[in-house]
Amino acid sequence: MKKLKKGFLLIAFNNNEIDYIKMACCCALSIKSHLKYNHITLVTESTNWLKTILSSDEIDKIFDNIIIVNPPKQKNIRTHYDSPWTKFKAPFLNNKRSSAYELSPYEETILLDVDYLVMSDTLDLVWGCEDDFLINKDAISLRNEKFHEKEIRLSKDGIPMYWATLIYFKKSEMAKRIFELTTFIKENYLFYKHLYKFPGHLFRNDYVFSIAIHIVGGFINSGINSFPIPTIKTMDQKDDIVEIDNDSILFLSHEPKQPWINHLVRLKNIDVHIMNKRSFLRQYEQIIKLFLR
Amino acid sequence: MDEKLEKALEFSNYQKTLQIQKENLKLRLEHMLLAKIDNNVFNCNIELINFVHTSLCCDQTSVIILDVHGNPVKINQLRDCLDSFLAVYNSAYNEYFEKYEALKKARNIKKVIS
Repeated sequence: MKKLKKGFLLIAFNNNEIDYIKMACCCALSIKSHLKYNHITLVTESTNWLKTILSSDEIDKIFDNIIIVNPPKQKNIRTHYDSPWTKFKAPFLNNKRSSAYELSPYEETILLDVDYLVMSDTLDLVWGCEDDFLINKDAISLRNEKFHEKEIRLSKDGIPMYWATLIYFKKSEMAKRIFELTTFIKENYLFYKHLYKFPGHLFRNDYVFSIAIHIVGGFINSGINSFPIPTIKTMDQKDDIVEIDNDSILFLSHEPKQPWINHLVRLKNIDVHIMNKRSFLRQYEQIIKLFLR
Repeated sequence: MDEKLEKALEFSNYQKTLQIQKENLKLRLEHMLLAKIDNNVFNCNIELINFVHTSLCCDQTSVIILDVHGNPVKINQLRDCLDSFLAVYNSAYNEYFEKYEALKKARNIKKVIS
């Protein structure tokens, strides 16, 4: 295939609980609406579901390229929340991320989680930068508070945690090495879990990329820069979306220590990582209406 | 609930919302202050603008400045660079000022988040 210069890579595999394809449509539409460079490739297992929810014209408007791959074979069950009062479990098919380097048809790629909404033009600044690989390690809540220590370091006194939510890479020696390492770490996840002492049994790309960066950086965490805006604004799984319009989102954000207290928070022209998947999907029709129809 | 306590809690909620929105304005300002020149991204702060302006006044033909990642970048077109920085700075702070003034006048939560 002819190499394209620059574009976004989204990876989505559906399961019975969460419609990642719908989220990918919303994410792609937010990219198309806010960014000058907005060529988008979707990596998924089939276009059958897409064709049932959208017309062919609409699919062509949203995605410039669709790559069909086999779905990940993994048993990775994640607990999700929808408000502080509702929780549910769902499969989390996320281990294709380490193949992004091989799958990307672009010279320069921004690899984005599909639960990320682009509401500003900041990502346009990234293309053509000097770095071969960019990833953020800071995230703040809707209330501008830092996350729990376990989202900052892999373990107490451990290495810093990078967020695999948003990754920029060039086809380059450095990026290739990092992605090859992530594949190796993925295959030896249990070993690295004991070595780096990170908690839980869930397979997390954040951990895999953090370890790969630590190794590639000479075990001292150097040499990898953040995006120009180094902090990812993140909506917690227990927060909710009230309404969305073209350039802003109104959220209901709970106080973690007093979950019965909620604050209204409006983000205008700020990109945001939407962790509450059900809340995101409740806005699907509205996002389609706003950006597509 | 005692009426005074109820009003105090209402005010506390308003204050918290106001504070969050002020912080979000600052975050938006941070976004807007980024300027891209020849594939390098700079943070347009007063120090940088003054330095480029001073260099121009001293008839320097080029300067080395640091991008957002601390990489040194040689700038040859000082006038164009200064104009870009000023345009970005003014646009960002004008929007910040306008939104901040609107927030200052917002006396209830509905207005704060509008």
